[in-house]
Amino acid sequence: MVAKNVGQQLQTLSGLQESPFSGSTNRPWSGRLHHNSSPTNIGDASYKGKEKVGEPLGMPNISARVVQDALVDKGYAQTHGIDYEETFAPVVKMATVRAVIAMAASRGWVLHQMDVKNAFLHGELQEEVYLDQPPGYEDMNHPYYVCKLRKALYGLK
Amino acid sequence: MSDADHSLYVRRSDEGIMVITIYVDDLVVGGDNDNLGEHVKNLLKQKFDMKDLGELKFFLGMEVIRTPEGIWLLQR
Repeated sequence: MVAKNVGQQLQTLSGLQESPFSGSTNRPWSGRLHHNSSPTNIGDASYKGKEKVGEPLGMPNISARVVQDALVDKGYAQTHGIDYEETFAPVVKMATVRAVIAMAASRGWVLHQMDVKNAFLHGELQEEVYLDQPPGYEDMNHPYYVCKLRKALYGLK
Repeated sequence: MSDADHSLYVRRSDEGIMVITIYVDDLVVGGDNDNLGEHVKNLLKQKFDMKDLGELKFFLGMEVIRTPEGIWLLQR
């Protein structure tokens, strides 16, 4: 979304307080670390930072820069032909949206908007995909073990 | 699912009409029966972790302003 008002921006900031991986069903990887025996489908983990400006929670009148990090798979390391599949996502046509809005205008419908939190965590993985342990959170005893993904991450193709 | 656009979902019944458009994780929900609309939104909230953003204000970089004369669409 391009335009965001202040209220929405603050909502986004308050969203930082929730860990996207808190619910056990939505954890992106399984609880065990896996021995790195198969050489395929192991992605590098990295963080993708998004910087946002706004007031921190509970501290009005103070502007702060907040860095929101998301754990991503370095999808660009995937190779065409080996682990490269198409991605599908529902993308509505702009003409359809305008048509719906026109219907709402002429028939007096109420239009509401919703969004899905952490939409990528709703995708079930069909393939076995492993990810290096997140930088900074490696198991010291098994630093080269990998995480088996249960859910899709941004950057996966 | 509509034949014209696979991201447009239409439900017609005695209770009224319900239209949903989906852009990845952003949804616009419209229809002529507010009670039905709330019901469908509650069903969606049960199935997915969703945020209800209230009346449509922004969608796909487009600002939507409702006035008594009609709906204004703004793109910058």
